[in-house]
Amino acid sequence: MDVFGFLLSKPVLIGLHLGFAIVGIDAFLWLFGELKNRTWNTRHIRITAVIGVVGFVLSWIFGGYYYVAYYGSLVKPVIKSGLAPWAHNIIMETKEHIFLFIVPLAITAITIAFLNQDEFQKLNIRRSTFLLVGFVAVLGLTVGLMGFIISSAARWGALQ
Amino acid sequence: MKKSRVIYASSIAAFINAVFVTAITISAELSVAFKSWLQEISGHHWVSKSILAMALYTIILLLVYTISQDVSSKKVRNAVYFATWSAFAGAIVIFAFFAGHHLKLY
Repeated sequence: MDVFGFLLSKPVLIGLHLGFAIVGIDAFLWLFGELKNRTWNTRHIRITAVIGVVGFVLSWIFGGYYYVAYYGSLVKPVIKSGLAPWAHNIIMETKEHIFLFIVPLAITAITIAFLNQDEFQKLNIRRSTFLLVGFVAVLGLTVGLMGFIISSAARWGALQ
Repeated sequence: MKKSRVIYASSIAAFINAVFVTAITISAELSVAFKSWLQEISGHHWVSKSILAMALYTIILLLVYTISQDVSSKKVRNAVYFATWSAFAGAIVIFAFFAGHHLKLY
């Protein structure tokens, strides 16, 4: 198996989707802490925001490929005929669509991260930025929890 | 300040993205023809939604950045709030829609 084939295999795709999502979530939690900190560390703020967006974008690409190539044909029928068809009908349908909110919000956070401390204070957007950055992390965690429910439903569907 | 215009434009674009994704998701579930059309664009309705959402975000960002020459801090602050709350509301609406659909409430 070549490197490309290895990267596109089902377990590796899921791992990359989840792994990069964790990178994105952790980076945004770190960014939240950096912004809370009264000492403005420009380098930390910018690096964490950029890592967060890159993590979410890569998670989107790898998860999207898995979803389009394998989920519909292999996983969805198992869940739909299993103990918890709602895991697809409600959770997966919600997950795949609310994920589309994350990247534009995360890019907005990057635009704020490229302010310097004076500009940030002058704009007086501290609270709205906390809400934005915190929401991106919470939305990422929610999507992760949904992924766990979907995986569990598929496992139990297959064992039925 | 150029940076505040970028934040403002990105916030407005993220707000419109949230409204667009919510609307297109529900419309596609209610109209088979619309979902088929989305599928025809890229081969998968979700990929088409992703492409359209990012294209719209980029266009709105550039458009708002170009036309809004002077944005106050209040405008920027409100736009950031709008972007966040619209995504929160969109997530609730999408979840409620699919829950209602599954429970055959409509």
